[in-house]
Amino acid sequence: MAAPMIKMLNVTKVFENGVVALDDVSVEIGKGELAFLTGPSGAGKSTFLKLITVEEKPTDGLVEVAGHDVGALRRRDIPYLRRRIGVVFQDFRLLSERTVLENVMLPLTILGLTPSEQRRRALQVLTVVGLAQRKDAKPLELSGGEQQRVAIARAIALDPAILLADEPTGNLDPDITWHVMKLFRVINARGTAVIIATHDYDVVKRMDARIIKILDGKVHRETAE
Amino acid sequence: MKNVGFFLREAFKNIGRGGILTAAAVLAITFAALIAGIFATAYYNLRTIYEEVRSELYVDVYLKYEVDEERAGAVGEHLRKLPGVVRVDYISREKAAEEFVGLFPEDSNLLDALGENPLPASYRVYLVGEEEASEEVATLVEEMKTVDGVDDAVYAQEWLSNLERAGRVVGVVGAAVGVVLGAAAILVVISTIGLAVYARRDTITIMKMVGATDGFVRAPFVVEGFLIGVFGGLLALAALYGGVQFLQTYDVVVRFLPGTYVGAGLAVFALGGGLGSSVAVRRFLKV
Repeated sequence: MAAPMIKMLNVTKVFENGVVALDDVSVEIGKGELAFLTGPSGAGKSTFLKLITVEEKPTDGLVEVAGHDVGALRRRDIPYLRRRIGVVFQDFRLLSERTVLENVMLPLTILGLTPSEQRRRALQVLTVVGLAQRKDAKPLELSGGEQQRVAIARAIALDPAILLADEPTGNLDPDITWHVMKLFRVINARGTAVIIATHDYDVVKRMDARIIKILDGKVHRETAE
Repeated sequence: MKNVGFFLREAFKNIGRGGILTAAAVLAITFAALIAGIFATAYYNLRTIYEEVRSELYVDVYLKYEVDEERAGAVGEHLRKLPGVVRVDYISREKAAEEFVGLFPEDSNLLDALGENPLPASYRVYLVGEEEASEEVATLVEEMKTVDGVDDAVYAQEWLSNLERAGRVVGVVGAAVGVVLGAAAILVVISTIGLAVYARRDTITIMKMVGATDGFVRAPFVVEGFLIGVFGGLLALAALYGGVQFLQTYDVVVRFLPGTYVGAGLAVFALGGGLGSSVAVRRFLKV
């Protein structure tokens, strides 16, 4: 396996209310790998992803993302790490008052690109997800599947090393789910490590990828790719 | 710096979206700034009167009766050399009598009744109308009294120090009221922009998730608070200007604040607005 893009070593996460979300988890995910994170709701999947995006820090153990020790990362350095991580949410989290194009441009604006360059790259990724023609629509004018594709376009706008998806198909029809999954495959084929958290086993079975199953905060079972 | 355009656009959009909340924040600032402005105007006007009086300030130095012309000349020379003295006019006993008659024409027979002119010769000593405190003038007057041949030295000490005291009181009260109202205005901005920020917390979360720094998220809000401060301050100035104009039509001698006061006031409220919104955003940045 190539150098790990994400490395967790004996990671434990206990929340302030005493809930143990992750318990002694050790996992490595390589550069350009595609992995599913499965398990029932509340198993610790979201916490697993939040440790990668540094929304949470481990109570114990080591989390390394793209070579950075997350536990030791200074607050002001977090944004720069996040620019290498694209995130897709179940509820899309698009800005409803902005157009599709503006939503996708947001990370590019934050990066400080010129407006014309922002536009060019946003259109590029919108083309990848097949929505360039809807660039001027507002998110709520789109179907759920289209909104999720916009969210994916936003997530890959900065050409991230890692793409995280938290129940990305939870709100989508089966047909569209399959379409979105194929999109993740395409993105993965471009060299991005993709981690998809889902409890939809049908999807997982059809995708033929590595499966990390989490149960009660522990890695219950791993299936190699 | 390359994002300034983005921040300004966002700030104006947010102000537009803020609607009644933004209006409330602006009005709160206007109210605070107006009260502060009234005090500043009072202080400025008292100060101006004080300085005008000071610029015409003179001390009457009365000579002793027995002083001859030579000695009187020497006293004049001495007075001229004192610090802060700009001009010294000699008033002979005859001229003093003329002035007395001029001032009190009905009592002119009083002088005749006395036979001999009882008024002493004096010097009117004009002082430089600058910033010296009235205590310093008092010291100077005391010094004049010690000059050989001088009987007494008199000036409008009490009135002047009363005026200065009034100016100080208005200044201190005004500053205290300004601080309290300024703080209140900042709190209003914190809570109104706080509500606006709360309404946009999802946007903030999303921006943070796609790699925005705290500064990037905060900047449009700070600009918004800054603009609210400036708008509020300008409205207050307009109201204050209107008030001054209104008083002037009734022949009340009131001057509008000078540019330095206006600039400083606007700066304070603009910075207060910016600071208030910066604080308001803070707690939503912990993503």
